[in-house]
Amino acid sequence: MPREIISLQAGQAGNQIPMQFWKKLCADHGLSPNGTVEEWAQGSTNSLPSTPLNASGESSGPSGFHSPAGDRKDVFFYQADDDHYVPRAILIDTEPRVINQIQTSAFKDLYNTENVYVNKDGGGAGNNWAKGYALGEEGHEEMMELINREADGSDSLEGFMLTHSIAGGTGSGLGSFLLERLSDSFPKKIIQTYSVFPGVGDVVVQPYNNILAAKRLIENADSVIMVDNLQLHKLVEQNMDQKEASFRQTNQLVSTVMAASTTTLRYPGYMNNDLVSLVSSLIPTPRCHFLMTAYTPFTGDEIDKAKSVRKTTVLDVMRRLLQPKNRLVSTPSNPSDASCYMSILNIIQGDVDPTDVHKSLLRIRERQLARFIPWGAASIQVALAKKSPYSPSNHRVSGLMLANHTGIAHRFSRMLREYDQTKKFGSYLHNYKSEAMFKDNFDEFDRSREAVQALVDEYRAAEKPNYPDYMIDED
Amino acid sequence: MSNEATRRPESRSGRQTPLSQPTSEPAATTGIEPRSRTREASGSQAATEPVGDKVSKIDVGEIKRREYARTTARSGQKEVDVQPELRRRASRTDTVERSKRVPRPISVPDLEPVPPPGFKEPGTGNTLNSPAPMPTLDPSETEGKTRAEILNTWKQKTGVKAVDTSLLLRDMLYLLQGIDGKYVRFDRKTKAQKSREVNPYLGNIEFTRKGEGSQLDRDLRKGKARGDLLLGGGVEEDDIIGVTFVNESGQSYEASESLKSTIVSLAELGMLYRGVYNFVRVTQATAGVSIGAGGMTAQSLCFVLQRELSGYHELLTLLENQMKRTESELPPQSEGSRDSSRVVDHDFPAQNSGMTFQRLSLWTEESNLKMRMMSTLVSEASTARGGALISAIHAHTLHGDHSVREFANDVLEEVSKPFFRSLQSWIFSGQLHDPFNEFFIQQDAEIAKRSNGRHTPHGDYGFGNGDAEFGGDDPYMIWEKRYIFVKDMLPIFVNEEFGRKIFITGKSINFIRFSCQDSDWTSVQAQSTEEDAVLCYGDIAHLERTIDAAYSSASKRLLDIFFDRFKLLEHLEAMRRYVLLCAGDFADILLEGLSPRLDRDASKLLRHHLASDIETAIQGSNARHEPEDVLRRLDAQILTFSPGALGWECFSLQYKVEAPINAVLDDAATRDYDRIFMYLWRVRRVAASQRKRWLRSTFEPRNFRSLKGYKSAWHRCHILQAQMIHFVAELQAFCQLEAIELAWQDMLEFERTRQGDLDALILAHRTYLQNIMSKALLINPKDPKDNSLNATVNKILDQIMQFGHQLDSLYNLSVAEKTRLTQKAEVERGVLPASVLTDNGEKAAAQLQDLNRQIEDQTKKFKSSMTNLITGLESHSNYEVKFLAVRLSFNEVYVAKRTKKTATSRT
Repeated sequence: MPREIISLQAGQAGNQIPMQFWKKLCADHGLSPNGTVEEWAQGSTNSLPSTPLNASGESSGPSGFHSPAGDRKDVFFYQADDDHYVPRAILIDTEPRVINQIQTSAFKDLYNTENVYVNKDGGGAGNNWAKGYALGEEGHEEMMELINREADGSDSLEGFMLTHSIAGGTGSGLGSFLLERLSDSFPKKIIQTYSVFPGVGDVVVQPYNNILAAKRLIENADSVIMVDNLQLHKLVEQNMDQKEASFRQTNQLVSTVMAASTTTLRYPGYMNNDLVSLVSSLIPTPRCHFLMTAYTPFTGDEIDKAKSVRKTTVLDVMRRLLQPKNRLVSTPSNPSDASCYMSILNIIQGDVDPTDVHKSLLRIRERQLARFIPWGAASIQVALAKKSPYSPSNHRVSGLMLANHTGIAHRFSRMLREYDQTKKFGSYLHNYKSEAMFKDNFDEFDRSREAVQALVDEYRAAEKPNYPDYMIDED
Repeated sequence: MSNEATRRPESRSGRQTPLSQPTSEPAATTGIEPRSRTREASGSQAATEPVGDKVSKIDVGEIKRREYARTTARSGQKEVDVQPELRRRASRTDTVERSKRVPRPISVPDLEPVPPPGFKEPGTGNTLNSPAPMPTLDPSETEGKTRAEILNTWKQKTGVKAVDTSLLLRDMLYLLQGIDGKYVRFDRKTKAQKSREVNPYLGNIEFTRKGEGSQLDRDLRKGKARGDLLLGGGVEEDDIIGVTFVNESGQSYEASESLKSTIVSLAELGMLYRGVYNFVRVTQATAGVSIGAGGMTAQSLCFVLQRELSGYHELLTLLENQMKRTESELPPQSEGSRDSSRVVDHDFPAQNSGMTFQRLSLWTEESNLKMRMMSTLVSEASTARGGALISAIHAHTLHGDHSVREFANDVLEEVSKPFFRSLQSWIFSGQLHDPFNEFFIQQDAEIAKRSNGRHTPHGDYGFGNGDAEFGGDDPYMIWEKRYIFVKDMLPIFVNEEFGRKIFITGKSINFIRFSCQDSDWTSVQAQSTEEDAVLCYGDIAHLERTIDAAYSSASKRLLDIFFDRFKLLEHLEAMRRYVLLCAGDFADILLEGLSPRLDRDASKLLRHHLASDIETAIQGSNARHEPEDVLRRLDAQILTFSPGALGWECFSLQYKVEAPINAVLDDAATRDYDRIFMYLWRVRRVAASQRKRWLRSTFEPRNFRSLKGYKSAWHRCHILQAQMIHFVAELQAFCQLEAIELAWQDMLEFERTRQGDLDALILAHRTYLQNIMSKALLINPKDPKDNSLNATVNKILDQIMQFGHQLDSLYNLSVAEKTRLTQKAEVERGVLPASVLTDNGEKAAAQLQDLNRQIEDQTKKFKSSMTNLITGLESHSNYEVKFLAVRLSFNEVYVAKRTKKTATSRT
């Protein structure tokens, strides 16, 4: 009874990022591009942890119970009749370009061709949230059929993972539509999204798209892992010997984070074996479910042309994870800012001695490297996860931080500012008016703005000691 | 001697004896000293002392007691006792004379204990001492006669006849052979006497030589059955208390005190010989017949004694020849010709032949020393066996006297042979070759019987017969209890640490052989080592080297077998994954599957249901990839429960292991595993219920937004829930990382180095469990009763479960309120009749208020419990346990009480 997760991929970025993600997963689990188990990974599932120690006589790591592989492929894959592993992925787009790209790539045989939905027109959503949303309505039945079929094919579906960008039309609009439908149709399944927040001015109407999508993320998603495009580029440029980052590189980066954040699901350990346990300790109150991530080190293993490896120890890794520059979301680094962590979960992979964790935590506390909420217990939780034996890496320890940080409100404040500025002039609103939702009025914009504002307010409130009394005002 | 006679009347005339007697006769103590003074003393005393006793008995060593008794008796005695005084005088002069003439013999080691000063002579057993009525001579009879004549006259008057010295001398040879002579016989204690009398000497023997039983006890033990084997016929084995001077008809005769004394001292040799000889006879005759017998060590001792005895026999032959020559030179004497006139010349009966009591004493001197030594060994052998006997003998090798030392070394070399044979067989082939239970390693008969199904007193068949039937037994019992280390039986020259090593070496090989069925290795090992290893007493250094080598090779082999052949680490790993729940995916599915069953009454639990849930969990998790051998061992266990208990309280996951693995995973370990499981299982259960409620309280409040007054309630709940989730998450992480993982690293380290023996392995595993207990369960291993921290954690877990129910109430209330509002709206819209509205929400509002209060209460309670816990943790002595406080209160929301107090007092 694995806790299956169905991956929904909407739009251009929404499909390009998972492409890298599935590639990485295949590598992690020893699967060939067509989904068969590689010869060198054969037997890892059937044979046994007869040797808890690896060849060098060292401990195979705290979570390495099921060595050598000890993995659980069926969270993200299912086995076809011919033993091929097929991703539980549904590829959705309104134009065929990216899908075609995938279907002509080396991994073309990996995906279930039935699980692809491309709008018949193939004209795309034109960076228009409303158009994307409408196209979603149009393909509603077809998409829901795919989703239902996948869901029925799971023993114990835990939830959905939506990958999309909130800037354009398809990922943002159609994605929003999906979120609404999903939370309706699967009220008890957890919905997590990997949402790419755009940088400045990628698309002219993105402030509209953003705020409309943000409302769905706030109301219909249970956990949102934010990826800031702007910060992504910065990160890549910081870590690579390259002036300008390519989308391929940023996508690799995001997929690395996605893969890392699902390690504990794919390599079961003592705890955090399912999505709920992973996010339940991160999200104290339902609305504050926007998680930011940090990852270190980015090396050539994950991303093309990355800089050479630095020394990695648990302390190094945990320290770097707390540094704003390693985050995938830009947050203010102003020290006078009151923003603080509501929760942190560090997933540390690699050759880790439990005492190192212990020492690192003490050191971080001693140095007060992280500020926490004043109204409740919060700490850096550490999950030690197994590293795939099939993906070689030349660094000893890598770490992913999943954190709930009130500073994320800044990103939404910016979103509000951008929206307000654009809305003030009413530019491009006519594009939206042509769609059903905005035929009569733009109330949906206001409602969305309200929702985002409420989110910002709540995050601000969470920085104060009297946060437990926060809702009294609302009642 | 003539002056003695002249003095006699003087002394009779009333001179009181000085009380300094005991010191004036120092040589009498052992009963062996007087040998050289007899020459002077015997004649005079024979002449001067009319012995009034019908039967005079002189015990060996009795002289001393006699003297004591005399002095004590004298102090209260009005009547003048002349004789002892006379004797005293004689001996005093004698001592002086002897010291002039005879060079003092080489001091004989004082093997007999000296009675401590102040002991009291018992009222019986000293016949010599009692003063007899003296025949008196008329003055007319003494008139004008020489003193000799007077003496003769006096002697005739007393009517006691003397016996010819040559006859006594011949008797002496008999006595030396331990058999009764014609005129001198060994005096034995009758049974009645024995039971009546408490001999202070025997008591003292016990006192001075620890652990040695008294002669009396020994005799009683040995019983009459062996009497016919012994010298002295059917009489119970020697309890000889002296010699009796009595002729064929049982009448006592007259003999001088000094002669008697000589005979007594010589007879001691005979008595010792008797003892030694009897010991040898008995031991040899009973060898292999009775387990209670001396055993191999005693047999070896017999061998040595036999050798020594044959030397003694040679001496006796020589003496006999000498005696024959003496007799042939003398004219044959008829019984009648022996008259009183010859008595005077008793001192020099065979002047020409050279056989005299004095010479006899001299010639037997060396034998006497050896015999004495042998006798000591014999008496040691009768109380100590095997290793203890060797130890006892070894003690003599430290004796100051060179000859004693040498003799002891000689004996030890031989006597220790069986020990070394046993040792060799034990450390090389792991077999306890010890038919007489003499080795310092013994089988526990109880256990042996149980595991073997038969009792094998003579041979050791190892831990088991190697049959499959043995599979279900308890190797840990066997390893821990089958063989016993008997410290008392460990020869002194092997120190205890070494003894332990030997103990473990053999145990290991034995275990390898019979419990692990790996006899190939042991036989190869035995061959390869035995060739160059002949162990003996002489070369202790070699012994130590050999044992060290055998120890490390056997121990290493045993550990290798456990880890490589029996895959111990894999089993421990499996237990860690499943019993200690480290395989979280398995545990979560199992928990989910079992929850509905365990929520019910414990009495309704059915094992096969549980087993099928375990199977489901295996199939649903990565556990399905485990080898069949691991999976088949997983089983549900229903622990004993009190009536009314829920399934949760008695369910436990069991990992069955069999021999020989259960030497490590023994009952105690299983109990520990159970206990840890119960705790971790409980924490996991709480975590699972938290997840379930988190999901609902995350999804559902969206639907309740329209409800007035519920938002803040939900928000408060979310906040408290977050705190609780944080607590459980950190607690679980701590249990896994700090407790189990760290302990496991040590276990892995042990496996990697494989240092030590099976005991070390068992200890390492125990430590592993102890560490987990002390950290995860927060139980103080030194004081298991001190579980206040554990109690606090359990209390908090209870509170979390309680809060869960409050969350449920809030949810139900919200649903009801929402339904009510929906209905109300529909009534307002006219969709529904007004009659469906049963209440106006006041009740719900009251309930909400109540719930709000409860939640507030719960928040406070939780906080205070957490503060208690943090306070307890911070003052904990274990650094790693303290760290849990850091984890739980990383941002210092919970401040330990003490700090709080000091903080407030400062402000």
